[in-house]
Amino acid sequence: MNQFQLEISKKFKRFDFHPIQRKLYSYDLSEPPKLLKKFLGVADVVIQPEGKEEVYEALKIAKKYRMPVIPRGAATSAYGGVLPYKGGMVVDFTRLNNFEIDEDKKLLISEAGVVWWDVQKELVKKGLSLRVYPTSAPSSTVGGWIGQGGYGVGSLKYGSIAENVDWVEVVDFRGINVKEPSKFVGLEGTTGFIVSAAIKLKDYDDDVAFAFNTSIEDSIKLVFESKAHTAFFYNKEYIEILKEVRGIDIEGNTLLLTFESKLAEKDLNEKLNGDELIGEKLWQDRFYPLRIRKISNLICVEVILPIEKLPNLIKKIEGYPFIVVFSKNNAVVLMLLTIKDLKYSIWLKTVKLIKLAERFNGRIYSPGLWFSYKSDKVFPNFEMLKNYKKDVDEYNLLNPGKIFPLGVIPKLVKIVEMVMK
Amino acid sequence: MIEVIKGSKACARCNYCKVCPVYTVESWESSSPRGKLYAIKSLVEKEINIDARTVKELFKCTTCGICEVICQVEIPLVKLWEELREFLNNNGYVLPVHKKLKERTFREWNPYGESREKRIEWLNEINIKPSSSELLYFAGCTSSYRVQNLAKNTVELFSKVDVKFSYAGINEFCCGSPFLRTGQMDIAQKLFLKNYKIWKEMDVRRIVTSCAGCYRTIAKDYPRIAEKLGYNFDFEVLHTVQLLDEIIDDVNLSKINIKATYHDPCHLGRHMGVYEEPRRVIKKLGIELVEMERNRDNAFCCGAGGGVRSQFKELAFEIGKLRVKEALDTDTKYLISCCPFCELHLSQSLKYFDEKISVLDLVEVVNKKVEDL
Repeated sequence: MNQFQLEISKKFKRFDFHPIQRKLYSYDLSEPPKLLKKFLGVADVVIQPEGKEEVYEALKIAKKYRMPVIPRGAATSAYGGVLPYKGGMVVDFTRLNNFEIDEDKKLLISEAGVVWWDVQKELVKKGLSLRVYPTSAPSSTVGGWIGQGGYGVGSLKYGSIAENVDWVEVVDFRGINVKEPSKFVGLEGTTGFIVSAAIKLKDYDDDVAFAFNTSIEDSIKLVFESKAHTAFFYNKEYIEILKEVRGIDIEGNTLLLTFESKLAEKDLNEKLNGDELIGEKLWQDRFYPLRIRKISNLICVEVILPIEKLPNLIKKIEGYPFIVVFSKNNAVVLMLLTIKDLKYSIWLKTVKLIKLAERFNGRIYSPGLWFSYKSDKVFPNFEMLKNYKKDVDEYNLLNPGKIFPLGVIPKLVKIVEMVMK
Repeated sequence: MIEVIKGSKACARCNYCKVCPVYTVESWESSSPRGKLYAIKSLVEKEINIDARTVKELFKCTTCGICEVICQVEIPLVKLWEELREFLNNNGYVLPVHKKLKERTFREWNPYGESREKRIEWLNEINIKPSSSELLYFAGCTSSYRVQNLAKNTVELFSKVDVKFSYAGINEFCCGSPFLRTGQMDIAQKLFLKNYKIWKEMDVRRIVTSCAGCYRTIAKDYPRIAEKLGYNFDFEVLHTVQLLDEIIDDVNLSKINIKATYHDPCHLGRHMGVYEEPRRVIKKLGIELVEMERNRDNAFCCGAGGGVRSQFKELAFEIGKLRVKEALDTDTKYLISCCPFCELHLSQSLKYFDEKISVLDLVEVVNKKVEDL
């Protein structure tokens, strides 16, 4: 046992150096091509802290040994954000799973490893509810989604996760401090590890969902005339696959609008022949966008673009199955490429689709590792964030290679993109 | 093994299978179904090497099947885990206690290592004689050697409601469930052949068992083994609770004014789809059924199955404690189930708590309440 291993074993109760565990903490949902895979590291050790002090301890050891340290929630993203690109210590937040509910302030005070849907079940018992949650809520963690940033269920009314976080408690090399969230949401732990957060809540109300058979243009009108909290649009190609997989009796382009029951727009529903039965089925399926993977392997491409540009992009991606998640002022388009084999051409297609979205003022959903060279397009204040990162992480040990480009991978992806011009 | 590889590649890695009881307790990726599938993929692609630790991690699974229920891409995971275990066994990767169970069973035809003569002790303690009926009672090893009360109550009840049954006695052999679940197919096939032979000699047409594990094995695995070995498997197989559900309307019952909760055994519920029969019987008895938070196809495993209790005792009891806690949270006085292995494990897991709840098999409850005809 070397000095580093000895120190880990003295300081932590839960850690693992075995190759099997190290390998299993070095993947996420992405399946990179072999060319990129060659440049990916494997965790040197996996640590499961049981409190924020242990997270701080991990960072102190990382600094001492100049070793990268990578935060990991449920690893349900596909942008490489949790991959130990340059090896290092993977900090698994699973055991930081306590939360409190401040009923008066309508705030959830949650540790990073709490699973969204687990906490929602407890909130409902107290007559409260999350305002937004990810479509991966049955397994994804509070810290994971805040760290990645983005939109989900409830985002039409309540905005992105960034708009729903009151404060974050962050561990960096200087200590453990409560901070204003803007330098941390979506930064994937590169500026400090989120160990807990305060999340805004609402009073619980039953959800009522309606499905509408309608075009994207009419959907946009309907979405923004309504008081729905959630709006998903499924194109006919997606619906065709869904029909096969789920046996739902449904045809053509479909809009799902979900309301808090007290705001359910029955009139709107009746006027437009919204279907409550199909609406309910689609709503129940909101956590299972990957179900269609049952019939074919998939590559998902996610982009965000302004609402007014949405019809332009959609015209260009006709034929691909896709889902649109509406937020207050933009739309997330999840395009699904069904594939037989993971060939390089699929990756070229992915880059092509992202470029296409960029033509319509869109951007990649999350830079993560693969698209870290695009971070300046995702964060308008990127220069300030870069300076902050340098200030708090002088050796670039906090999740290196994510958000802030590093090494071969972003360069290779960028070259591919340039060649495609 | 092809199906195992296919399954490992089909995984969407969504981690919804985090509901796995082993993962719930251990919370390491290696113990989650998703992690195991990624480990298989990594082994196949030669990105990692197999070693004793990796094999151990792959065996940490009760085969409860909740991962299969939750899987959004519908991978047939129970079958996959069993095929994987068979492959590992065939390649010499067998865990020491599982190996020991097999050695014991080759000696006395039960995994507990008890003598064949002792198998029938429970029957000798009651004054009921089996007949030459075409309905065979298959007590199973756990009821014969460890939870004898269940076997006694079952035949007492049969006697009260005039159900004629035959019994193979010392010629009843382990059904093979522990070996099918741990991938030891050679002995499982041997046990099938021994039981099959005796059942044919006895002119058995129907088999009823009070063990969920035996029921799953005889009803689901035996026909497959029979087909593979070229035998005609033409027996009707029932769990006692299905028989009770058939006859309950015709028996004189004194109603019970109690509150109880019900634990769905994985092999009866998720593996065989028997959820409503026990609930109907419980309601017929007048018992107020208070469901645990996780029930039916969502029920949490007791922690004993899949060779976990034998090989990973501490883990099995940590899972058992979680299930007992759920039962205690119902604030009832009785935890009813339909499997002696669950009953044994849950009652032993209860010892970690100050609060008490009586763990009973449904047959015992019915037997106490059925008036003699």
